[in-house]
Amino acid sequence: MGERLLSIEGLRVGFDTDDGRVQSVRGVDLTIDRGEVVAVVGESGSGKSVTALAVLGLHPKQRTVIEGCIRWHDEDLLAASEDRLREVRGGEIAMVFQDPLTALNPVHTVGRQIIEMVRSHRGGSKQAARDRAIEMLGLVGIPQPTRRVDMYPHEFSGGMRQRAMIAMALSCEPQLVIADEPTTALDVTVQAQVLELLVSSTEQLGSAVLLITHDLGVVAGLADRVSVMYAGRVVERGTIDEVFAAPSHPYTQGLLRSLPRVDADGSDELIPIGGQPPSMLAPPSGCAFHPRCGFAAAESGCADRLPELDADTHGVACWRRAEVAARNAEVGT
Amino acid sequence: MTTFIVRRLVSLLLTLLGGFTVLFILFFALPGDPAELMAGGGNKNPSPAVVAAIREKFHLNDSVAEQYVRRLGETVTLSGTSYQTKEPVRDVVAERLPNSLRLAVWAIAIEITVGVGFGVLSARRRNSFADYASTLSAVVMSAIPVFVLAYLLKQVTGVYAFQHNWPDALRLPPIGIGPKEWYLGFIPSLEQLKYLIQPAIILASVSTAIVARLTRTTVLEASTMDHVRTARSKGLRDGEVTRRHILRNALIPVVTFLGIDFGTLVGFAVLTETVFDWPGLGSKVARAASTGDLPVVLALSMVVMLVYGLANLIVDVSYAWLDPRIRRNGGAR
Repeated sequence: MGERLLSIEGLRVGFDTDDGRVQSVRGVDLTIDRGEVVAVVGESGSGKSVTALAVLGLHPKQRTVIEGCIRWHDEDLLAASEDRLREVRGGEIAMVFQDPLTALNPVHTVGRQIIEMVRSHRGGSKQAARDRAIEMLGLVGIPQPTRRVDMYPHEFSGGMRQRAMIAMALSCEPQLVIADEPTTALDVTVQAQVLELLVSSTEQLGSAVLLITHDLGVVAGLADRVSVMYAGRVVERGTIDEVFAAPSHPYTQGLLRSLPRVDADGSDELIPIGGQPPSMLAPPSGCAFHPRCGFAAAESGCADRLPELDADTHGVACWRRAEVAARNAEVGT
Repeated sequence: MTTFIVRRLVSLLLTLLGGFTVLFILFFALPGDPAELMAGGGNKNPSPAVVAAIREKFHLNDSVAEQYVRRLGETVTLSGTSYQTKEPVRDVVAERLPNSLRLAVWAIAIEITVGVGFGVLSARRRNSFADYASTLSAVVMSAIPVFVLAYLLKQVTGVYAFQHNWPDALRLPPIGIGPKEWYLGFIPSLEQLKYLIQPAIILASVSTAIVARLTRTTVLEASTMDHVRTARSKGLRDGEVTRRHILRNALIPVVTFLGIDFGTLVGFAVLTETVFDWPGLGSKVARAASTGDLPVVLALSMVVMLVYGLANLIVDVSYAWLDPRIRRNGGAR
């Protein structure tokens, strides 16, 4: 694809707590090119949201230890000044958060919250910013934007609120939008609409999207590439086709098997992944997935050695990739 | 909103009537014959003829119901006369109420500027030297008895400042109401300020400490809200985030406290009024109560209750300004 926008290299994020350091992200590599839609998939606590917040430096400074490199174009955001970060936030990289009810300030009108963002990046008159806010609300399909602009978040429905969030995020034409579980808090009926909107409106503006979700099904039709995270590391990455056609990490396979399928004839059972997500206070040794993994074997060293992603294109971090991949042929996924 | 205010005013009137009734009943239930008190005091053996004459004159022989009705009319129209000083009650209120209101308004102003200011500073620089210093002084201020604090202040400004030829602005008169020069009712002349500043500071001291602590807590709490993270992700400056997105949400409990406190400052500033010889309501009510001066006690108590009620009404109305969700739910119903 196009020019490289963001490249995260060896990112580690830890939080110092009274019980010791919680190492939420343990070496993540991730890239996004201009105009691309990249999905990061993983369960709660896999470190996907922590990674996203780290990009914009939104973690509290105290008690947070961030290592590695977050390269935005040619600069390292981890070394950037607070003033520079403020320019990037909202202006070049914007965020859409999970729950639009709590992520929007209840005491200000939706319009005001868009206006203050537009003005802080583009300056200009209040009226111009207001016109921009109305334009953006219209763009995301909110009816009667001239009236809606003066309403408060609680006067919007859940789906409308998230549309307003997206309008806000796009208002300064960012090159990248990070959407952190943008549909999780919404009614199932509007989830698809909102996702569609997110992707189509960013496409219109030429913005890239980093889509963070726990739902592998959500990303199928929307993303170009996907990274699957488990216990603070990327365990599999590739294009959507590669990962869906030949999931080669046991965790990815587990995720796919636990998804309901529309085209199934009913004979396929949903198979949950056994066991519990690991505690990041003391993650399992070796491959963090080995306690829950059906392929784990002592002779492969699953419990002792940490596997790295084995390729740049369809990379999998598993000592038994060959055996795992062979299974795809068996079940005919 | 109008319905809401009217309803609150009606309930305020009922509260006043209830308060009046309780005070009236207490007066008759408590030991001590008012006629004897007026004739010269319970332990002085006044002549029975005088006591009987007083009973007659002040209608103390009428039935309780008749007295209640007469007393109620007298209190509402402020047409009673002090048993002790023979002053019309109306004059007492006219003299004392403005003094109390002025002192209370300036004390509240100090609480808002200093209390909220230090609270925000403490919260934004949590665990810094400024935070510890502000916490420590808050504890000290609220732990030292008011009269000790007042004495110390007077020693510095009234004695030490004169001995060491401090600038005029720091040499303050120890007590008194001053020249009574007020612009627009509440703005003191420079000379008047010299008399006002000390009692205002002392009256505000304890509450300022409470406001600072309360503000610190609520600001810290509001800072962790999701929409504050959104505000930061939009690239707003720290100051803008605090002002627009943290403070508005953090202020509601502080405003509640200030509303209750205003009533207290108007009605119960007995210590400060006594130490600085500031002729306000509190000290007058205290004296009237100890001498059984029923007309004064009733009238001034009603005035204090009215101020209390109105202050809280203003607080409730200001909630609607602070939080638009209340505007719809509480206001329109």
